Amino acid sequence: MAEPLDNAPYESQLKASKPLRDDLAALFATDVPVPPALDAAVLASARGHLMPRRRTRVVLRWAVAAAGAAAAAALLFVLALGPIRHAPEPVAMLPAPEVAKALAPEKADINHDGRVDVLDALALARELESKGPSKAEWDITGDGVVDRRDVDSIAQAVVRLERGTVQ
Amino acid sequence: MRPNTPSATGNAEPFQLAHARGIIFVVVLCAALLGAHAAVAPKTPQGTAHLALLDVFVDSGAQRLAAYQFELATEKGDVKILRIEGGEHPAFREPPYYDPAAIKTNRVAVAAFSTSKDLPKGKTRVARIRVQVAGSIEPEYVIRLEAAGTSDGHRIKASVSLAKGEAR
Repeated sequence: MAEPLDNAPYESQLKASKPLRDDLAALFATDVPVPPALDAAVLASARGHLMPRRRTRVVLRWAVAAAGAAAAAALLFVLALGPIRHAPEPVAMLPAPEVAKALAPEKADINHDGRVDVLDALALARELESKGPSKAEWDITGDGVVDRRDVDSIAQAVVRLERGTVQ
Repeated sequence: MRPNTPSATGNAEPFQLAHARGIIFVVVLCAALLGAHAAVAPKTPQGTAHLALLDVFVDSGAQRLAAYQFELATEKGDVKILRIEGGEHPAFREPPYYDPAAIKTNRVAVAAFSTSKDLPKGKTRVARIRVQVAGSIEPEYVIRLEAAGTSDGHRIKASVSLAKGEAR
């Protein structure tokens, strides 16, 4: 079994003679002449091997920068639109027939009290429920039939915000 | 495993460092944009908006109520009407008539009638209006009863009132 290689205390005491040192230096000399063509070929080969990696890194770096710019643009877009708000719940909206806008006050005054309001819609609804003879003047929609749509037309007309045509 | 050391070219930085630098760039950019937006954005009252309920009552006294029509508007405050619902009595439980254009405004006319034999009398809730109130000004409403009638179509004297509540 070999002895442990703990020669440190002895190495500092070892001294080689000058001829021995010269011989050793000549033996391991590294100034081997390399032809410039070989040097260039080695350099070209090294560049060919390393440049694609460098190109990949550059592309990735630009990709990260582009992603950052895209995120910033998206953020600006969201901020420009303002805070995201929840839409209100769907509202039970009633249809707003065009006929209601052109409702003639004299025609819609079913109870003949000089006003057109919800009581006229009630009066016409009651007439329809009584199944009595209908009058042509009750045809509010002008479709040739007196029915629930005529009642709705009066009711919708009286709640219109712009009621210039009925009052 | 690739060593995290400079490459043989000497001027290329490690990919991890470039990646981290990109992430930091994005984070700092976003933070700067948010800060700039907070600094220049107008302080709108929408930030303090809340939902509220307006219960509308009609008191027809001893008469049975078959039809009503009222108009509601705000005199003060930033209020937007969101939804209009029916009342408590079966005769007026369906949503009343109103102009859809009133939604998101502060004024609405509402009407309903019933040909049912079962009609309410006294004070009854005829409609519920859901609104959005923005800002710190307490809204003030004005409500006016335009018509009320019995089942035989007679116009009656009735009163209308409003009760405010917070939406759940």
